[in-house]
Amino acid sequence: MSIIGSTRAILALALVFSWLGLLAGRADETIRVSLYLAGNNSPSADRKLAPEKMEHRLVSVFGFKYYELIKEEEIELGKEWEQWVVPRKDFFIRLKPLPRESSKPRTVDYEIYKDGFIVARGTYEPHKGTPLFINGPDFKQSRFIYVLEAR
Amino acid sequence: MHDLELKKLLQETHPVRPGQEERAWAALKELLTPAPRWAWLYYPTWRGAAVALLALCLVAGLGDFIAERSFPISFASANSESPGIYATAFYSNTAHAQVVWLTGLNPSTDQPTYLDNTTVITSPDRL
Repeated sequence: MSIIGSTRAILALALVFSWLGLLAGRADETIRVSLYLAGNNSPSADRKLAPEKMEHRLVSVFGFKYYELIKEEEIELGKEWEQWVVPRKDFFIRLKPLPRESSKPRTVDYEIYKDGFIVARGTYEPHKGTPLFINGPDFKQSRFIYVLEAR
Repeated sequence: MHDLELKKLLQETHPVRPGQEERAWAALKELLTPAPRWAWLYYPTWRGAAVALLALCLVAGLGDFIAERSFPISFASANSESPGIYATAFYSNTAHAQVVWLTGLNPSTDQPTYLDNTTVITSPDRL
């Protein structure tokens, strides 16, 4: 095989493997679940705030000035069983990635619990760049907000 | 002066070092036959490898973009499961985000919840 032919063969193989890698990467999709405390009073300097882009999005929906990150966790969508995110004992969320149907995007069932009781449930379709905001209960002058982001 | 004598004289005064002729010939060959513009594409070079890597990244990114856009986004659903609580789901165009809006939730407090250990036994006499 000539040098030109071998170079093309290497390029073709690299293309194939890059697509395989991309598909494998899709199998490890995750969603990040973050709980923010939104308020108009500036939190102390040691508190972690929402990233700038996310903050703009949150402001346009909720209108608060500051979004303090309380806790964040990552949920693997490949694990198709229920997974709990409990950043607070009085307000937490249960997620269950549903099995992926062929030629359809994956969906996730969610349930929101307040004071130990389920208050709402629904289905969410994770898309990169399209987060899900869940408006939570008030806390003093602030409010809890869940953000689910596809990774 | 005869050619042979001249050659002998030159070899004595300016001896040709090993490989010098090959290097001179290679340099002359490069000048006589310049490499085509796209020669780096056909022979394994670092430049070719860098371009191939960039092309792979672009193709992978484009494929991912097309795969993402090929599915229309279906909005999140939200159903209330408790009396007095209302759940609404909508899409915010300004935030480019799906929103689930719950109303009627009791405010959160710092008080212990049912998950906390609230029964603190201070003395066995109190049993």
